[in-house]
Amino acid sequence: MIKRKDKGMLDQFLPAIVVIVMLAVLWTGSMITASYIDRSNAIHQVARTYLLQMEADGYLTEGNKVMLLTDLANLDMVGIDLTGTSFTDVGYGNQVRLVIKGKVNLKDVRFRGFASPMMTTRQAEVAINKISVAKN
Amino acid sequence: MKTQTKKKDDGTIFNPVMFLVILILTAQLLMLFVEYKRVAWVSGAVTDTMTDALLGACILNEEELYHYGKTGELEILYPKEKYDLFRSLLREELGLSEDMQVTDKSTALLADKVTIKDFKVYSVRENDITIYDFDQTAGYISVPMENKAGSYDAGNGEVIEKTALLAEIEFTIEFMGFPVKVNKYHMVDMTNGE
Repeated sequence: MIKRKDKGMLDQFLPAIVVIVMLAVLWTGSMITASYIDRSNAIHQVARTYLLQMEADGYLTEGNKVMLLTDLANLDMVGIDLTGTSFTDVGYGNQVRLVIKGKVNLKDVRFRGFASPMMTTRQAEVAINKISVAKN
Repeated sequence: MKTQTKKKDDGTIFNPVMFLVILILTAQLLMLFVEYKRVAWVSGAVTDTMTDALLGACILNEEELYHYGKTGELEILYPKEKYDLFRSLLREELGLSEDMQVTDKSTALLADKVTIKDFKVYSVRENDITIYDFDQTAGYISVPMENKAGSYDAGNGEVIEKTALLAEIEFTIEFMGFPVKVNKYHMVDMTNGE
């Protein structure tokens, strides 16, 4: 009579290990996607704050421009271009415009073989065009 | 007679089927979480845009400014201008067509069109209120109300004391592939722009 060989430890734990790895990848991917949404929200809120300031001033003042660029840089935005923004006083009742273009650095999960790290970075385009009416 | 019972195999908690179920459930929960976060952000962004458009519409034309300078009363003489400005700001910021439809569905935040369900101008002069109530075709009726300033409830628990603008919009967002209608409402006080 041949005794059947017991299941090895690896046989028992392999499904669990595979599932744990897959759950970790899913969790990381979801959290990264959620962080994109938070970042996008933060950038829009910064833009909105300065647009409301522009409503009161009639344009984006030099001081506010520097602060806006700093705030956007703090959100990992690079290559910021404000072309199209109202930089001179438009006068009461006229349209003020805030245009922000640039790229934002994002973390990403990508499988490129076991030798390469899964966490990579990539850049995504950001384009915001906000308008309001000056009340200065 | 001796009965022989078969010994049950040793059970194991490492059941592949159970793990597959856990994996699928977790994946669905995570998808739900991300989708909920996206929808909440889109809804918030559209509400902010509506508020900004309302604030943008809190502008007086030359005649109203002259009247304000003369009487000190922030009375709205041209309510249609406020509606048109609100609509145009909303349309431009959300990238909508002339009939408020989403133009590019691949990049748009919204799934369908934006409807201005309600737009009201509460023009206050001394203790009197004139309500300019716009319908969805941009037509309006005016309702004068005497001695109601400070006591008239706008319907949301907010009492009209000073000249104000109110807007309610409806739009559709896709949640997990299903269209969901969202209603958003805001009122701004024209005297301090809040």
